[in-house]
Amino acid sequence: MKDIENEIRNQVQKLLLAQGDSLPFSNQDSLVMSRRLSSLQLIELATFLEKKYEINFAAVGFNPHDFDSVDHIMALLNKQQ
Amino acid sequence: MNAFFSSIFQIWRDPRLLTFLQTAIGKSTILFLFALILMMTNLFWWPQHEVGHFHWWPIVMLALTLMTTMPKYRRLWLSIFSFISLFFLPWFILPQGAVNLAQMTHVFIWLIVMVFMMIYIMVISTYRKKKICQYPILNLILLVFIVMAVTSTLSGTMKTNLWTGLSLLTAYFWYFSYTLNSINQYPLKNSLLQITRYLPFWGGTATPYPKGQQFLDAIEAKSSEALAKSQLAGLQLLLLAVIWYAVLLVMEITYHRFNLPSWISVLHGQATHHASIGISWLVLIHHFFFQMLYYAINGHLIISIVRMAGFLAPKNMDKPLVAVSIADFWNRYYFYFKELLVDLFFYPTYFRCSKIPTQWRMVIATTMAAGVGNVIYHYFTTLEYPIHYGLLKSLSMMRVYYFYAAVLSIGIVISQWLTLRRRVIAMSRLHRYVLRPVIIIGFFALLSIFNEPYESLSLVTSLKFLGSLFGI
Repeated sequence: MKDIENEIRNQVQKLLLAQGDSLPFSNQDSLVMSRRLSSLQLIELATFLEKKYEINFAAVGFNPHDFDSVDHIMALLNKQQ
Repeated sequence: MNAFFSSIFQIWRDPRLLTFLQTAIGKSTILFLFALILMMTNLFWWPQHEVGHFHWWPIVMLALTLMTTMPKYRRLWLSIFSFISLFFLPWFILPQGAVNLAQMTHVFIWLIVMVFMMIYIMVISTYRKKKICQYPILNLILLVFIVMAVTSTLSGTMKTNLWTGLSLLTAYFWYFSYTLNSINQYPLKNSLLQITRYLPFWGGTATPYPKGQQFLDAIEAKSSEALAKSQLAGLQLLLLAVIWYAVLLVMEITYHRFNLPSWISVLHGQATHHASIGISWLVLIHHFFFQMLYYAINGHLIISIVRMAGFLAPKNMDKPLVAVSIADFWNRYYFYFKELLVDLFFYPTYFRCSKIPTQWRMVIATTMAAGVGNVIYHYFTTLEYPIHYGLLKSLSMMRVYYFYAAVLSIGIVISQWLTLRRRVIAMSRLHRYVLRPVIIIGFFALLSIFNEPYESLSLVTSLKFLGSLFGI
């Protein structure tokens, strides 16, 4: 589980760095509500989860709030597996 | 100068201020200051732009006082005051005038619309597994168009009443769509209760500020410290609205001092024989910045009240001039409208096209949001045109806006591709802070020529004006 968490963190960090945001973030920090991640980046993150963990958002429903923090994303993955 | 500004920012961030705002005197002080500024903004801004001559700030302040002193019942106060404001504040304007709930016919039609929305929610919630119930917003859009087409063929009282009902339903439409979009996240009772909070007392347009129930849940202050932070941010935003109003005022005085022609007269070609290329550019730039300031002030005023109510909502407009791409500008310019299109059109389309390559999914989803959703939104918010001209003619009258929506979609798609390929971090400072903003602002300023759903006479007129800017 720690590996998955690290992978998610790396992915988020990559997206943040891509827009020049090098501020640190904890697993609880808001990413969507705080507007640190844009809708486009959210889509990139969701597409990554779709491919990597085979989550079908068309079936389970896509909710941006599930991506608000690393903890939220981990909870989403736990729910789907 | 820098020291002066940094000392001001230090005061805002002082933890002692937050502690003070959690006391009874602190709460009274911030409410008093907010009321004072809101009263002034009510005198100079809202009366002429949104709510007739009614002074609404006492109702808002009563609501905010109750929500501050009894935060446990915040949702209840929100429902009660949103209901009260429906009777007093014509937030939504019907084509035949403001909704007059003193008229029994209007009250009756309003009740029918309310019951319709409740039944619709119950049906979707009960039969959510059925294929037809999996597209509740799309079905609702089709239903509105069908009723519009039928209404166009009728006459007399029946026609008037149906249009009144449609005007009410479309005023509620995007609030209602957020409820339908999150119907699986809430029990039925909660989804039904959301209806009481549509068109909230803090004002707004057909675009829900700040989004739907899920968003409110996430940003609600859950402690007295969080409430103090939210209210402080609300007061700051209200002050910012006042500052932007002063800037707008200076801009308008300067504009009129030089006796420049109006935007519409230049756009319609009535002033082109007088207007040189330089004047045309000036009028366009003025129009673009006027709109930007107008939306900034409106958005800041509404969000400042939202924050005072205990919901720390993000700003509607957030530094659009520092945008690094076309998509980024759109995100910063009118956040809640962009979110509406993304939540209700972009995400559902993108995830339903999972078998298509990612780039093409993006193209289709962006076109659905910035193109199709954008046009439907504007069609539903200007019902006076279908009422006067009928369904088909009013649809054809929006052709300039179709062009606008198409160019906007293409611009955003290209911007997304560039963002995905070439990361912002790799840009030089000159490119990032000078060249790129000029290109982005130039794109949106020129596109604003076509951002007039009905006011543009024809595509040829708008293109002629565009050409005249370049001496063509």
